[in-house]
Amino acid sequence: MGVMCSIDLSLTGLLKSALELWMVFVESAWSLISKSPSTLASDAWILLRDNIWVFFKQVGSGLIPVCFLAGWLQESWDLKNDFDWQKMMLMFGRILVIEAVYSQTFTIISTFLTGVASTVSALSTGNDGESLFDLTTLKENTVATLPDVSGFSWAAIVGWLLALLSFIVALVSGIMIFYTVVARCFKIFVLIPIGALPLATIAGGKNMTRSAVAWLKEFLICSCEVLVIAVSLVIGVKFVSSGFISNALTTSSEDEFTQMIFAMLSVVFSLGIVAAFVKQADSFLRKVIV
Amino acid sequence: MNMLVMGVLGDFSTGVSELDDGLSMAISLMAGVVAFLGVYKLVIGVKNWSDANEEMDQARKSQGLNTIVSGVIMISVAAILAIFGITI
Repeated sequence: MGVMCSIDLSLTGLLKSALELWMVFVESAWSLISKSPSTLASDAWILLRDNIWVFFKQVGSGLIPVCFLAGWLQESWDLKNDFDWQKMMLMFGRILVIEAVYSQTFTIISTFLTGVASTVSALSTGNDGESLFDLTTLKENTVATLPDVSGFSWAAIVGWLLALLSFIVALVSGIMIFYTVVARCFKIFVLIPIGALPLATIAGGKNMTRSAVAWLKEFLICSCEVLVIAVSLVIGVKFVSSGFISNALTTSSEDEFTQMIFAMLSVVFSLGIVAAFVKQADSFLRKVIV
Repeated sequence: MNMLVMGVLGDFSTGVSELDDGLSMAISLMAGVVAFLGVYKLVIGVKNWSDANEEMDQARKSQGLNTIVSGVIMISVAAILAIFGITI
């Protein structure tokens, strides 16, 4: 579905253009977050799977015995420590499990990412099957709150300047949302092959798994960030179109100039808050996933 | 199980000779240290077992036997890893 973007330099036209521009970026971001990385950039995914991951897996495979022996030495170096044959058997059992799982790591990661993308698609569909991500009434509802300031007057000039500010805010916030989504996709592509190295440290026992736990946490945050972004966009669009902030920023003044300022400010706040929360999705998840 | 293991770790090669040499050296060195500690454990285990045998102390005898078994496993860690498909 396409949203036409044309810039009309009148006050109302500028505000409509600002919202259209914002909607273009948000819609583009939405189309990205509901796809798994393998469908998003299939060439890059194939390169990752067939070349980059294979190389890092080979290096990780060489690190597994190194980490295993390092963990063994850590346990057995202190000769007073009770490192008996039962613990040794556990360590051998661990390396067997690691070896079995390590060969399937890429498949597990790929399946998990596909599952997250499917969850986003399911999240955005309401109980009646309609899409919850709805931009159709956004422009009309938002522009309807704008009072009619016409003619050449100081109010019209200030209104035009505020509309220009809204345009800039819409452009910046739209780019910020789109950039956050694209950066997250790119980050996943880089994070996956690197994971082969810290995951190999699991073979070393509990003293050496910090790297693996850190990587797993980072991967989980990066993957699930898209869920927070999806919720932010679905709810944010509803906030903007429902006039939530413009209702809060109402004034009892009947002066058109004052009403116009408040209406413009409500647009600026609405778009900015949605973009800010999408940008903070990463740090929000870091606080939740400790 | 062995074929699955060999499929993962077998005779790995990263394609970078410096990395391969470094990893092989590290593995050999650590396996050597583990084997050395295993010899020490074996000797201690044999000593403890023989002392306990003289004193007819069954608990200390079984403890000594545990130490002997641990020492033997540590000495043969390279062979056990080879069974898992990791050549040193």
